Amino acid sequence: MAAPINDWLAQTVEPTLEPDLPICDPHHHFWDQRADRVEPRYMLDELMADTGSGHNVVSTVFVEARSMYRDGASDEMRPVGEVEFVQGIAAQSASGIYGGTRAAHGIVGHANLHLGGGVRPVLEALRAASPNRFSGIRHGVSWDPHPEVTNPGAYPFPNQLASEDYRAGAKVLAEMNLSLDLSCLHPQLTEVADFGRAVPDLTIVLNHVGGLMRTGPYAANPEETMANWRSGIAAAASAPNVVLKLGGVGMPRTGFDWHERPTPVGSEEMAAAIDPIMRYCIEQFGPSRCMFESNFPVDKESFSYHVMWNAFKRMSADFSASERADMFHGCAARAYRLG
Amino acid sequence: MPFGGNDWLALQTEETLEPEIPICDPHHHFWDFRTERIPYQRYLLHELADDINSGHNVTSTVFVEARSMYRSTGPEEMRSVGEVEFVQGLAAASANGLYGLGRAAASIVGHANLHLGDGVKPVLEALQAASPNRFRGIRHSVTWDPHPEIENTAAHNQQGQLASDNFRAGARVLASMGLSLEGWMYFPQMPELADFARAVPDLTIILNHIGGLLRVGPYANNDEEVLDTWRKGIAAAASAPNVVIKLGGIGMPRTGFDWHERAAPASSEELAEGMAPFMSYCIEQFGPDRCMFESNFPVDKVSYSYNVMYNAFKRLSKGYSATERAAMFHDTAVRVYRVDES
Repeated sequence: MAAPINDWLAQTVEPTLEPDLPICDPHHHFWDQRADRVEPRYMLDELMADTGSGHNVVSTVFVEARSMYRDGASDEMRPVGEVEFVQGIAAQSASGIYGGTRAAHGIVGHANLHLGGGVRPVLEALRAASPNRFSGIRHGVSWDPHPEVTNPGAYPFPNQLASEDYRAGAKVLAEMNLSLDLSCLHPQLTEVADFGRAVPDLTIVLNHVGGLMRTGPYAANPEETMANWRSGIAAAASAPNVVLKLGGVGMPRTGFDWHERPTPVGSEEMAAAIDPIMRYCIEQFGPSRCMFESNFPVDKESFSYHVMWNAFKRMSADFSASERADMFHGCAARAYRLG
Repeated sequence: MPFGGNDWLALQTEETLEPEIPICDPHHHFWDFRTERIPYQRYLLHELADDINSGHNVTSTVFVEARSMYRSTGPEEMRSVGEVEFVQGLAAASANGLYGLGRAAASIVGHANLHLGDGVKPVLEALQAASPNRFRGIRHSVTWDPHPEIENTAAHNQQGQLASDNFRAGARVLASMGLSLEGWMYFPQMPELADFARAVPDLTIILNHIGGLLRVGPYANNDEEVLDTWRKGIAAAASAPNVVIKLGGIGMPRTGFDWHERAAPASSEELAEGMAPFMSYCIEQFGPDRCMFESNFPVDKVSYSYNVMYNAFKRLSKGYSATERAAMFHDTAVRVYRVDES
């Protein structure tokens, strides 16, 4: 029962480039019965179909997506259901009967940092739900003042990163040696830099090249948009405890419009298109603080898994072997402390 | 494939009887890529949800170990922890409510090797850590039969396990941790179970599948002797107050009903008639408070559908009081496995 997106993607098939290069895909989701999504069911089978499509994906990291929250639990404890659920999929994968890829080898759940010091019992419950794989949480802070921009996420209000309760919660995270995944929109990147310096012991994993938006109000003046994005990336990179995920460029808000094509983009064209963006990020953060990510199945709206990794490989071809090892695997393994 | 699958089961559809009676199904499995020669080689949450949502009011289920999703690395005795981790995940998905109101795997029975004796404790602790809120006990199968024609799929295929010192030491650790033990054996072994149960009086033992009835191979066409031995075994097991029994497993071909060989599946009326003498005897010996109807799916699914099976259980239990039936369909299991249906 493959989703229709797979038929569209099947029109652009390429040989896998450098199929031996070990990859940790540090960002994907699992969910079921989401009719509004490009792939309404994305569980172990669907992930394995993608990770098994050619590249050497040795492990993956699940990132929270409000999936399988526990019905009937208190609001703050509902996300524990998601980590319990993903821990089960990871155990399935660890049996080896689905192949060599270790799916959800690291698990990023959700807890509400606005609970401040009160987030500790939630984090403890998340850790108890996955003593061996839970590595951190994501609490998205995306917010944009323009009425045309839909503010995604559970907390649609400005300046979360500056709030005292959020920072108190973040300090608990750091004390517990857990990481924070941050999704934001690019005008907020300077807030990320301030926040990063305020919680220096916390590993912050900035999602999706810093939340680049080139649609709606940000489409009118592309040069200004890119200048703002660049200064934001530079600011975030100046906080040494921030690392960056290179991906998310399949989301329509990034303005590439690949999802509107009759046939999907190929990796050569894609690599050329994302090159200036990725290169700037790598220049600012350095390869040891960068990790390529799939953001699947969200980014699947625009390209297939194997074309995407081909594009990442083409784009990074001129970096050294050790720099590429960092970006395709090492940085993720360190940030999420994957065993 | 020697068995019919869902298409074959669809040849016998029935209205659900008494669809309001709450059911806790205390025995089913989850697995994938199973190599058993049955049509249900994948039985995960979606497949179970189809069954438990097929008409009856299944409010909760209990997963029982089946060597599923063992870890592929690490020390041998710890590999079974992977199974409980895995099932905990399916239970969490079910607890979201996305797959219906019934709580799948609301309690979990895993595996640990009791021959480890006292050394089983760290394994049990690891199983508990893998599911702090649902793990309730283990199964360590002791099925053994001297006849070479009787297939034995147990991981520990040896005679007299229940009497061994190390097994009993391991069982005492189980009891001290408040965990239960599934008793899965063949019916000639039930006197051994009675001895064992008396030796570990604090342990709750759940005798599987009406005591492991066999009526095939050397036990075929010999009902007089076989049923006499079976009845004595059931009576012996029932005499130990810490043993409770699961009423089911009769869909397994080894019980000799041959329902799986029909052109179309048997009706619940016929199933009820076939099962009634066995079930009635068990209920008489154990009392309804120590009995629980079980599906043993998807193993028993080779003989009947979930809906028709529970129809048969309802038909054959008609003569019992509402309280007695509540015990057998739900309350005994919820009590024994401390099932949380919230």
